[in-house]
This record gives sequence, structure tokens and C-alpha cells, in this order.
Amino acid sequence: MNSLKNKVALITGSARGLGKAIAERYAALGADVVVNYSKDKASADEVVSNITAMGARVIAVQADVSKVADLEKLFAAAKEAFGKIDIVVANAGIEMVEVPVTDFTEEQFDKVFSINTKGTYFTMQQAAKHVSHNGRIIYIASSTTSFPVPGMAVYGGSKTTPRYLVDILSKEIGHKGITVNSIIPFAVDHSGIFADPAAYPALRKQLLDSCPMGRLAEVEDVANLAEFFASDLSSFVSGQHLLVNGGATN
Amino acid sequence: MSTLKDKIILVTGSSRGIGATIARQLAAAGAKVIVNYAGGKDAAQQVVADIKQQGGDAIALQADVSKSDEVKALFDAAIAHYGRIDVLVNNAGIMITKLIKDTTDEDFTRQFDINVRGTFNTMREAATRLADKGSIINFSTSVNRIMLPAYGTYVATKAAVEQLTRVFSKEVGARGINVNSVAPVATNTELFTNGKSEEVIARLASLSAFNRIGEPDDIAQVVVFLAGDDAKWINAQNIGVNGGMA
Repeated sequence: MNSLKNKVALITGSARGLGKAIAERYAALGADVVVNYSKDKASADEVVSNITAMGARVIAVQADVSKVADLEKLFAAAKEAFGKIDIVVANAGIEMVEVPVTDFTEEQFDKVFSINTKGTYFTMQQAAKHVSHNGRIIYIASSTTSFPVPGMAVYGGSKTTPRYLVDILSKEIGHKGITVNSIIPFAVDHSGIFADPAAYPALRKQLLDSCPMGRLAEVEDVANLAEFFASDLSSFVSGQHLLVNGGATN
Repeated sequence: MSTLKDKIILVTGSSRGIGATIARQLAAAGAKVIVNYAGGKDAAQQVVADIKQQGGDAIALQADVSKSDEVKALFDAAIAHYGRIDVLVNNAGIMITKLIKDTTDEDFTRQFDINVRGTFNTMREAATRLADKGSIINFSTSVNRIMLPAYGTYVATKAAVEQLTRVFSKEVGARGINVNSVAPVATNTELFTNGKSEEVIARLASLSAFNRIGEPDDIAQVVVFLAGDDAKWINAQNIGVNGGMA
């Protein structure tokens, strides 16, 4: 139904997890893909070979999103390889959970904010400068910003500012037909902090108990919404923040 | 990437406006569509004829959604014809724009009867009669977020729809049914343009980031997404379809 043929998509933090699932989905729909990674070249190479096998064009570019110079190089490399950028997914982020406010160090605070907040801001700034008319900018947010949970102060805080950025940017560049939206995933199973199914048992139980569908999210649930926001179906949907959480209340 | 092939979809109030466009787009995506109407029989039959001409499958069924016995009969007739209903689109609604001081008892009752009681009636039937793993898509409005004068009663009805949506999702989640609402604003249909000057329409268009009002297709394509299995994990949400207006 949806086709991304002749589109170029750039996904930050796409060597693993959600970013990988989105990159591979876009490739399956026909897009050329720019895979970005910070350190894990081996995983990025695996995504590249998966996408190459689908017959799409793909490059992997190393860039630390917390460094503006790296982001400039990332976007320049994408334009050089494919001539344009139509879809940008600001996905790169780090998680730090179950740390009470009283325990955070200055170093931890700076690390989380430099990647999740500063990194997203400048990714979206680059996107706003480079994305083609009628393009798409998609921010991968966090449901902790909708349902505050103890231990999430710095992580949730770092994910709150870009939400506001989505609101403003959607209004600033709507005249180019570009949509800007947030995907707000629920805790994703088999990925991130739940890559190990035995990790964070109390948090997992609390989240499961709050979900009428009785499971955590899978990366494909999030990729489904990323497909919608990249497709023509969502051409009049902008400045929106959409939870993909099975109706969970935590 | 999901298709709507073989899904049976009931769209209330789909003889005209956004509902008719939704019925056409759903059919084009492979669904079999029940075109419900209250009074517009000829228009409903035209929608069905158009769908059939494109190779699709649809029937028109009359029911006033504000009457619970008619809604029950609507579900009976739809299930008798197609065997089941997979997706319910609660599109039927009316809008009366008057300052609260000028709103009559009848204006108030009509809007609540159709917009809230109508949505309630179909969801109550759907609770036991919609197929497992089905989907429900309700209609709110993005006017809920921008507080325009003269829309008080209308937005009150839609706020009630949003709340019913959220609670009902918890009640039917165990059957794998997801329940969401979409929130259009200022869409190019009779319901919206009736009685508005070009100047008023241009002013409302300027509130959108795209500097235009919505078209029925803009709204319908989001309903197509929500009706498919790809949207299954989106549950209890209200989705603004408003060009970034709010």
C-alpha cells in the first residue's frame, strides 16, 4: 500500500533496536537509507548488508549526534550519496532509568542531555535545513514524558524538550509541506533496557500491568507508525505526538 | 504493510462529506463497506454504486445512530449480510455553531444525541458484536484544542467522545480490539463550510501550518491507516489531523 520508492531516509542511531527496525522497514518500502551509528560499526554493517539484500541503496555513516560537526558531516554524506534527503528520523538516544533524582551525577546528567536533547535539537535543525519539500521529520520520543515514573527524571526530562521542538518546528516549516511529528513508544521488548528479558523485573511488571493488551511493544509496532508518518497517508498530520503503547496507562 | 482486504467495515454517517470519502478510500484499500445513513438514502446509494463501479463491495443501511434500537438493527442487518463486522468508524456527527447564550435546548440535545449517544450506542453494540481483534475509530475534533467561540456545545460533545474512547479501550482490550479517535478541524465539507464566508474560511486556513483547510481525503487516509493491522498497537489515542493547526 505505502511506497517510499525514490525517497531518501536518514535515521540516527540505526545500528540496533528501533532505529534498525525503522531503517529496514523504509528499505523494504523502497527507500534509499542512510544508517547512522556512533560506535557500533559491526551492527551498522549488518544493517547495511540486510538492506543491500533487499535491493535498496544504503550507506552507513559514523556520527556522534551530540557533536554538531559530526551531524553536519552526516547530512553532507547523505546528500553526497543520494542527492537529497526526504525523511529524517531523530531516533538516537540513550536510556538511564531507575535512578532517583537524589542520585544523579553532573556527568550522567550532561551525558543524557547531550545525546537526547542537544543531539535531537541539532539533528532536527539539520533536517529543517536539508529535508526536501513535502518531506518528513519524525522524532522518537518516550512514553515516560506522558506517564512520569520514579527514576526517570533525567531521561524523561531530556526527552521532554524535543517534544516542544516538534510543536514549533512543525509551524516554522509547514509552508514547505514538511510534516514534523513525534512517535511516543511504550517500553520496547527485546530492545534497549529490555534487551535482556530478565532486566528491570519490577519496572517490567508495572508496565505490563498497565497495558490492556498485556504485552510490551515490539520494534515492529513502532516501525508501523514510522511507516505511517513517512507515507502519503499522513500528509496532513503535523505537530502531533502519537503514543504507540497498546492503550497502556504507565 | 497491511491491506484492508476482506475486512468488513461499518462507517456511520457515510452518505456525504468525510464519511463518504472514508467509505470510498476503505473500499479502494480492499475493505467491504457498510455505508450507514440517517436520511440521505440517495446519496448513500450513490456511494455504494461508486464503490461497486470501482470493483468494490458495499451496502447502504439506514439507521439513526442516536436511537439504540436502530443501531441494534443496523448491526443485525450488517452481520446478516457480511457475517461479521471487523471495524467500526463512528463518523456520524453534526455541528451547530452558536454562542452558548444563543444555543437552544434543542441545539444542545440534538448535538449530544447524535455525537455522544450515537457513538455510545454503536460502541455498546460493538462491545459484544465486533469481531475479535477488531478496531474502532471515533471522531473528535481539533477545535477541542483551540477554543473557538461558538463551538462550545460541539466541543463538549467531542470531549465526551474522547473520554469514552479512552475508557472503552480498556474494556475491550482483552479481545484485541483497539479504540482510537481522530481529530480533524476545518475540513472542506458541507458541515464546515455551510454559512461561512470566504474570509472566515481563509482565516481558519491561516491557522494551519500548511495554510489551507483540510480535505476529506486528508482525514480518510488516516482512517485507512487506523483500520489496518499495522495500527494495532495504537490504542486509546486521539490523533490530530489538522495540518499542524493544534
